[in-house]
Amino acid sequence: MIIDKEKLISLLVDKTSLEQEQVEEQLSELVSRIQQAAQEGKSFEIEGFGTFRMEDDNLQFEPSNTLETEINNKYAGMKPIELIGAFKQPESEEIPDMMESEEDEKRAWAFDEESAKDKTSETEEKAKKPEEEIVASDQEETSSSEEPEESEIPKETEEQTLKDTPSEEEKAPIPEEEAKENEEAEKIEEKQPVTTGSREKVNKQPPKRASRSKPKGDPIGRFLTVAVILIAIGVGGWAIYDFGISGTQNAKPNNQVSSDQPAQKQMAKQQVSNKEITSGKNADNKQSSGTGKNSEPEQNLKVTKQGEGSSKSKASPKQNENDTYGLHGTVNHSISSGYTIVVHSLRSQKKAENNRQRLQDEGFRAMIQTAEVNGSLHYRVGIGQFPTVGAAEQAVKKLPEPYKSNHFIKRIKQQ
Amino acid sequence: MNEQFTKAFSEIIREQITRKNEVKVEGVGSFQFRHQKQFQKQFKNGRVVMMPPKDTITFVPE
Repeated sequence: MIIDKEKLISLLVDKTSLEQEQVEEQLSELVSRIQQAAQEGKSFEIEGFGTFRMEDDNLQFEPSNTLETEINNKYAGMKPIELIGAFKQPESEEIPDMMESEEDEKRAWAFDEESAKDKTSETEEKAKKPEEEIVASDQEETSSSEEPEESEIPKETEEQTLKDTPSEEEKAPIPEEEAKENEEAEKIEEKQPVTTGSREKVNKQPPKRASRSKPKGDPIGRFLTVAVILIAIGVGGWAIYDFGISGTQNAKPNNQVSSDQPAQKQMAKQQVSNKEITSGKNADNKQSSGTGKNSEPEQNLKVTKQGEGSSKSKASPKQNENDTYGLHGTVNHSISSGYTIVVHSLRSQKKAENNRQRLQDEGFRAMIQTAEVNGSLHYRVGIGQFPTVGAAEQAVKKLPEPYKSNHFIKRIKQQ
Repeated sequence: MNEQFTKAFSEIIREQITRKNEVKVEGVGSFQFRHQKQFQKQFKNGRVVMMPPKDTITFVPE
């Protein structure tokens, strides 16, 4: 919309308490005074509005600050945003003053020296590292599988830092020479853009930081390796303690899987085999009867009934090894723990029983376990009894096809 | 030409400009509204900044 003279006058009449004639009069006076000032080459200022002045035979208007900000109030307070990504190195047209550049490069040199020192000291530390690790790995044969991987990592980082340090040292001597030979200043500037501008320093910092952060990352790696070594030592020590020194108790694989149930199971075996033994030292017998056949008779010597006890306790482990677990045969009810391969899971007990019977006829050791799934009772037909999940998985490989691909291994429930 | 009039005059022009109207003053020229979009600007030393947008008043002489 264009506000012409008529509209302007009507607006002015509304705004002021003046009559229209007075307004017209005032406006024409204003215009004439502006024109007069323009012709005389003077500037004419309206307070809070702006200044009119003649420039190159043209009347120009410069708004005052208040008018400018009031018109621009939508974007008031917005400042130019620095675009760091788009920053371009200035073309090296301007050759910097020699004195200033020298100073700057000395500073840069000192900075480089520091970082170079840091790096060399760290490389020394790292050079020691792998040796320690090798010693550690020698000590522990049990956890040696972890060690080689760990010891490789520091070597790589060491190589990196070694690569880094020479490049720093190559750069570093340059400024010294430059101080003597002013002729080379331009060449070096190309290599090392440390010039006079303060902003350029700001720009130079990011790569510096990047190179510094690398050695900072390394201590974390070192801590990790140390932590892994400590853990490995702990595990190794535990393993040595358990298997080597304190005994034979945990040597059986199934004992690792479940600690309390085998104990119960052994107790059950013990009750079967050692009914006749009057033993106040039941606990000792339990421990030794599982694996240590040699120690068994000696302990039984102390017990009153020697002959019977020893012979029966000798027989019992053999039974355990041969008959307790397996895929085929009949269900050994004396086993209260272990795993079975579930091949059917049915809601009807009759069908489950039929399936069990069929599997039994095929020669499998079949049993039915009940389980409540989502509120309904399921009859799970399982085959075989296995001490560990691993053994069950081994047995699965020998199964015929429908069961081989469709099954799951389940812990046998005590019923 | 009293102060009340000049004050009213500048106020009216300001109001109309902010409403994006063009104000013609016969014998002098016209005042117009102009919007400047944001733009990138590179200084001679290589520094690049994004200038904010702004609204301005421009004067076109007769």
